[in-house]
Parts: sequence; C-alpha cells; structure tokens
Amino acid sequence: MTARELQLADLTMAEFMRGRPAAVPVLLRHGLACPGCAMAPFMTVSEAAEAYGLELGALLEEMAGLDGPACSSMETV
Amino acid sequence: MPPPPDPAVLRGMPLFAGLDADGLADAVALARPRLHPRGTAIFSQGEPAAAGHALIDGRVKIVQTGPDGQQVVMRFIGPGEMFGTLAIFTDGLYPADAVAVADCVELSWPAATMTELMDRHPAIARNALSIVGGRLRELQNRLREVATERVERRIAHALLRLVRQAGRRVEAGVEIDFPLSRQDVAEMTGTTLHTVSRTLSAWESQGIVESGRQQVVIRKPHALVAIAEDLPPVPKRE
Repeated sequence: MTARELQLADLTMAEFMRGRPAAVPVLLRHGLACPGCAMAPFMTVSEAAEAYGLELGALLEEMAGLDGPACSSMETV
Repeated sequence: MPPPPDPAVLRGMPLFAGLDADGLADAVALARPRLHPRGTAIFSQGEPAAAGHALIDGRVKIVQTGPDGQQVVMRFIGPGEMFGTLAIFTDGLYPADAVAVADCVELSWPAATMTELMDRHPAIARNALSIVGGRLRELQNRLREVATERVERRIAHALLRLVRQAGRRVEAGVEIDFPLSRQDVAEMTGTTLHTVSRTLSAWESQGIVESGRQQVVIRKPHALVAIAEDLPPVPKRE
C-alpha cells in the first residue's frame, strides 16, 4: 500500500466522503452503509473496510483518483 | 377439467388422517378437481371464501397485501396441505391471495360441503383443528421474532441518534457523551425499562456496548449499525 493510501486509510469515513463525494456511490455499491451513518465521523476508512469484510487495499485502489474538491453540502455527515 | 381423482390421492393428507376407505371416497366424490397453470391465481384476497382447498400437486404461494400495498409472503403450500379453508369458518373472506408458483392440481370443497363433510366425519374437523393449531404456533413464533427484532432495531436507532448528537471517540469505541439512563432509552423508543435492560444486557454480553450507570460506550459501532439497518452478515474472510 502506498503512503498516500495509508494516509487515506486513517481518515474517518466522514472526512473521506466529504473530500470525495464521488466515492459515495462506490461505497454504496459495496454495501457499505457509511453515507449518512451516525458512526461515520468516528470510524476510519480502514475500520469500515474491516467491518464489512472488504480488502482495504483493493477498496482504496478502486477509489483512487476520485479526489475532488470538498463538498460543503456533506459537512454535516 | 381433469378426471375425478382416485380416493388414494387423499391418503397421507393430514386433513383426512384417520378416515377409512369409505370416508375418503365420500370426500373425493364431493371434491372439485382443478388444474391451475403456473402463475395463475387460485383465489384472491378479499373474495368471498367459496371453498376449502387441498393441494394434490405443485406449489402455492400465499401472499397478503397490507393497506399500504406492501406484500408479504405468508407461507408456501406443498402437496398434501390444505389452504384457504380457515376463511370458511371466520369472516367468509379469503385473507390472502393464493398463487400457483408451479403447475398445480388442487381439490376444493364448497363451504357448505366442507361443513357437511365435517359433520359426517368428525375426524376431518379434529384434523383441521390440529392443522390450524400448528400454524398458530408457527405464527406465534414468527410474531415473537418480529416483535423482538423491531424493538431491538428501535433501540439501536435511538443509540445512533444519540451518537450523532453527542458521540465521542474513546479508546474503547464511541461514547455517548452525556448521562444516559436506561429509562431514557426506554422513553425514546416507546418500550419498557425491562426490555431496554434485557436488550442492552444481551448486547453487552456480545461485546457490542458497554453501559455503566449513566453512560454508554459502543464498542462495536458496526455491529450496532448492522442491527439498526438490518444489514446482511459479513462473510468471514480468510
């Protein structure tokens, strides 16, 4: 895993989704209930992947390049 | 219309258990045999219950539609089982749709004929009672499960609302950062203190939450979300 991916893995799910709205459909497609979830601000991307039995590296790779401008409408997530 | 069936088709059917050959012949002589191709309705919810039914071959789905239009599969009927018969003895309306999910052969007895048969052969009435009793027990079990699940989900949702409002990451998990009694949770969820205590104790023994006198820590946040959202279980990875 790259240093960049390790960094992303330690973000909370809420931070991660706020920075990358385009990741939301990918997460939903994998069955993650993170978008809108009360626990999203408290759980890291790595913890979420583990909870859903997903391979962290593969998940991050799939979402690589989805970085985009912060979406202010999701700040309350 | 298919040819009149051999009385032997009733042998082994719980509704006609204990009847002698004459009794079986009597029941078959009064039955209306019918074929229902796959996908067709045998009767519909709300229709007057014209008959009692027994499935000889095939498979029937009993589907009830709620006032909001949502459909629930109540049960599947297999060969040898009776269905739609109870309505004759209740309000006279079929409580659900019966749909053939495979090509079906069915026997039915008009309501008056069914009661007449029961008068002549009390074993049929006793058998019907025992079949209905068995289904009542199944339904009681299912109701208990549904009721338990509903209150569990309500409590999980209440805790998640509180996390959203006052959650704090701590070493052990996510803490609801204000004094919260079990009575508070009971009032939030419209249930009893006893039920909240029982549910939280069960979750504690599974390591999902930890609750002191006045505070709650969610040790397995995902497990709580899974209960609240009814998520499918996660397959174990190697």
